[in-house]
Amino acid sequence: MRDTPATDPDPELTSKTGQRAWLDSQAPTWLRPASFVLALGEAIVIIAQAGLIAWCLHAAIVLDTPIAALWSALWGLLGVLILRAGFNGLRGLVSAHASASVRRDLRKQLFDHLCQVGAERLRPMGTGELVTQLNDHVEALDAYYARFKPQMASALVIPGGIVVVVASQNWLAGLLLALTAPLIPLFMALVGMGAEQLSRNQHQALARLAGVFHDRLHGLDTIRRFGAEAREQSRIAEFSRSFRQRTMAVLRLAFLSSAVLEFFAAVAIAMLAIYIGLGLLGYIEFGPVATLSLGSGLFILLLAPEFFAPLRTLAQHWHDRAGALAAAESIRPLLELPPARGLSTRKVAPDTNRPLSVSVSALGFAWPDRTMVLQDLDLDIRAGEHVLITGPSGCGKSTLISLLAGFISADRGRIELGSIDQAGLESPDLARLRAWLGQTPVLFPGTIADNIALGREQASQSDIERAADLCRVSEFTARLPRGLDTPVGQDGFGFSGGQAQRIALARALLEPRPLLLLDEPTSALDIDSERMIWRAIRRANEKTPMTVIAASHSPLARQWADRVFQMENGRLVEIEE
Amino acid sequence: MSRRFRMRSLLMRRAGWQLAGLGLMMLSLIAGIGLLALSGWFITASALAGLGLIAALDIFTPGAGIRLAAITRTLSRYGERLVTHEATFRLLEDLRAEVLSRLLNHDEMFLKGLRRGDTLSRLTADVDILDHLYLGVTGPTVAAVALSLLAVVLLGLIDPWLALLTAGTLLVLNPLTVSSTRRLGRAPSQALTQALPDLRSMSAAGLEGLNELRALDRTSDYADRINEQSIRVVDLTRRLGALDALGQALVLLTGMIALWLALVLGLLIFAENQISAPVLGLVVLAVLGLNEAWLPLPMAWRKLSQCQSAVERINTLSEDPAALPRPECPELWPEKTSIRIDAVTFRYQPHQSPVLENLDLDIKAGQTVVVTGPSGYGKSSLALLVMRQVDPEQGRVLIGETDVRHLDPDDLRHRIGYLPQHPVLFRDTLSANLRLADPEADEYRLTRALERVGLGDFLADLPGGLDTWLEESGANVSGGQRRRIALVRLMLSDPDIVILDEPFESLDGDSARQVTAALDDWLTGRTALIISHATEILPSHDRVISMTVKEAFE
Repeated sequence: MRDTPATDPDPELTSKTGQRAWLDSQAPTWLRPASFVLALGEAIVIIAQAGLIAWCLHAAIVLDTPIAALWSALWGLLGVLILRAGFNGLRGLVSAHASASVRRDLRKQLFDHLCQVGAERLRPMGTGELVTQLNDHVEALDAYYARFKPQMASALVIPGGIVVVVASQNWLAGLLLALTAPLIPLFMALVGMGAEQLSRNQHQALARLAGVFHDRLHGLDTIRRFGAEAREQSRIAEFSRSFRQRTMAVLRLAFLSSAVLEFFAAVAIAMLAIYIGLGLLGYIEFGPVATLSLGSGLFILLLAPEFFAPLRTLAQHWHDRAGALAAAESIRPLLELPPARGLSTRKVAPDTNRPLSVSVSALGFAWPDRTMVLQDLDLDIRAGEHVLITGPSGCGKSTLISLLAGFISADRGRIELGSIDQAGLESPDLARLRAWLGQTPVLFPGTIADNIALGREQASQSDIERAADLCRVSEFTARLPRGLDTPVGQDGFGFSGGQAQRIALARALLEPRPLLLLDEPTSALDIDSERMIWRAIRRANEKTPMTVIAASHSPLARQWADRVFQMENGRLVEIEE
Repeated sequence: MSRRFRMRSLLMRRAGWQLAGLGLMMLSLIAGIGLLALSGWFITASALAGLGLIAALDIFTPGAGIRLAAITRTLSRYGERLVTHEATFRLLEDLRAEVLSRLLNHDEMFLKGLRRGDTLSRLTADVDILDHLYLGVTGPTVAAVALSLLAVVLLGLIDPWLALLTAGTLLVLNPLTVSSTRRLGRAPSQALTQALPDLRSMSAAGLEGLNELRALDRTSDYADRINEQSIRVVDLTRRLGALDALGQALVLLTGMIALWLALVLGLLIFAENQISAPVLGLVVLAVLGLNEAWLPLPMAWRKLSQCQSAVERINTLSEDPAALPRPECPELWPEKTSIRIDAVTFRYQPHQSPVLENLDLDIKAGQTVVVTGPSGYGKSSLALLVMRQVDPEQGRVLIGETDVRHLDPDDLRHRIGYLPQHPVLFRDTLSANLRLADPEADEYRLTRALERVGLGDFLADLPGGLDTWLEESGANVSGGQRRRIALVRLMLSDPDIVILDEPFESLDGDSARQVTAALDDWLTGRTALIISHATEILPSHDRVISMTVKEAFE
């Protein structure tokens, strides 16, 4: 039984609770205690600050204490205030650090895992999408660990601490705040729902509008050919307008939830102020009014806004949470993909100096959710032979090459290289036995020489030049000012498909290998480049004999091959030329 | 034009909305401060009255004031968010229109360059990022400064030193913090704009080339390289995050110092009986409240550099000069629209081998000529040469008797109908896509045109008929349907010359036959160049030219 990939919907992978648990498990273990300790410190400082200010005012106003007697309290207050800013900054530094370590580790883990999964299974997902997941989605977690999580701790600890202290001063005022305390989860849910809906809707609307705009930019030429410049400009304006109207309709509702929080905060402060004022005036009798003084009254009033401030900040960071949940939902299924080929441990010392015979017996393979591609496939190739495998696209030619290369492992059957079981070979040994060239060459950031020397960094300049000459890379690099040291990549130099493929061939042939596997090496090329590739392969073979297996439907390949096989229903049939 | 001018001119638009947003922003801040200050005054006064230290206190006015402040705070906060968002959306509306109109002035090669890589997505994102400019930066900054100045004036009525040392401290130290965090953040921000795309292209190459890496047993080395770059990126963002934390802590510290100064000075002035106790309570709580306005600024201003580079990129894109020179006084569009290609040699890049070498081709006015041959023989470059989207290295391209280099580029665009190999459909309704070519066309005409190329059943199956929305780049239509919709769009226009690049690709036999029948009709009287690698099904034509195998150059 082969293991099936985890594409079936696992509730744990898609549910929000699942994402949250996963996000929290990624955080460094010290983040939560550290956040709580810092929040506790901040709570203590906030309470001390309110206490000292209230006491100073009370002493000066009610007790007529001369200012000279207040200096120690005032200097103490200054210390507390500085400490408060210090705690705030420290919390920011600590959480920025935590977020950095999560993102660094996760990106490494994710890329390593994708390498294990292998190109064959990743291809259908699209490189663009994977690059977004690996970069942007991992970066999207920053706000969650740097802002949302620490703020969550503050929102629990600071209001909690304030309620306890206020209640100890005046149970009624404490009760008033505490009454809003059960409302806090309600607030949060309300705010959360609102903010989430807000960010989702706004994001969707913006994405759609961006898409409409993007299309017009893409089709600027088309617009101009039809003389539709003015019409399309007003069309874009029309779209912008209708999106704005629709989004604003949603925002009017979504902003209500935070208005509710704002309302409770403002009303609670107003009620406390009026209750304390009337209590001090002696207009109300109920509750612990007798114990109220200017000092305790101001203390409570100063703490009231501090009670709501962490909650309001949390509401502002709520969309960071939504963004992180969405990112987790996109990243986690990737981490669940099964690896393409198990790691082998056997150590052998393969002989790399002679061409290799290849023997395939009863090979069977199917892609997940598809019928068998290869069925009981047998193939025997003598050392040094040039074998061509043809067949219509999608018949499994490339799959066979990938199996021979050891990129994926077979469901059944056995591949022997020489007399060694391929499945038991370690990756470095396998790399010394076979070279491989694919359909679309991939050049890595760096120079042309770097790309040719990818397989052996310590390759000498003359080795690189020899490979470049052999594969006719020198022919076009000779015309470049920097020759083989010309950089490739986005900002570098653009190559035609044929030129890039010649570089890729030079890379594969830098060191002679006993077995060369070619996966549709010329199907994306024009006829000149194609001819050049086959000639280079032949020339390389004249220098060092190798066994070559090529999947291709090029007529030129037929002239080149010793034996030709046709792939039919997952098996190979030899064609007599 | 300087960048600053552009940023400012952007902000001058929709000034009414922006001012309204700013007003509400300030109102909500004032209400917040007023709520605290009034409460402080009220409690102090009540305590004194309760102790009998002052005579009877009017409790209704301050009580009503406190309630009013609470309600105003809630409502103005809500209103502020609605109005500022409305203003931002309107601003983006203008910006999109302007970017579109500026880009429409460029030549085709420039637009083609625009379509490479992620330029377009970045441009789209750049426009969207500018919402931060008003929502995050100018609004809050103006509000914080204006409010602090107001505080200086009001506190100055009580005592000038109190005013200068409290609100003045905020007005001096906070801008200092903001500008220095911004300056410190510039280097890592700049480095990040380079490091992040590098990481992206490295990981793209790594993921594309997984098999290359495995074949050479270099996977783990490459993963290490990516990890190094990732660490670089993460480290830069960590530094920026730390800087934000530092900025916020400094602004908080400034606020705390202002609060302390307010308390100390207030107590001193109070001791000299210059102010009453309730006013002392008011001053302390008002300064505490003033701090709120400054807290969001350091991070907002650090992000301003993103806005700046976005504006810069938009400017560069929309100000680049045209690549092909325009004729000084273009000649009139010829009456007879024959096409002559005269000994043309063309290559895309100087270092590449020529795509066309010494090519001659004659198409008489009204003729239809089919060019066939395998891919990679410069068939499509032929189309680009006739439309003068590229110029030949040697030789001439003539329409009638006129070299295309002497024709008005607008004439070339409007008089030549072109179906590219990958036609663009817009995310819009089907009818809007078709009416691009003929805004006057009624539903009957559109339906008939679709039926003629065999899209009658397709139209009948669409849930909204002609008003059906076409998804991303026409994702809810097949390749063949897409091509035919684009062809219908072209056939609704009336060009003299028609160039069709692979019009039958991804069409099955029946649809191809329907398309050829429709084309036979429409092409009558027009000069047509049809590029096709298949020759089984073609509209009626005068000649077929096969691009033959060039001599290999080895």
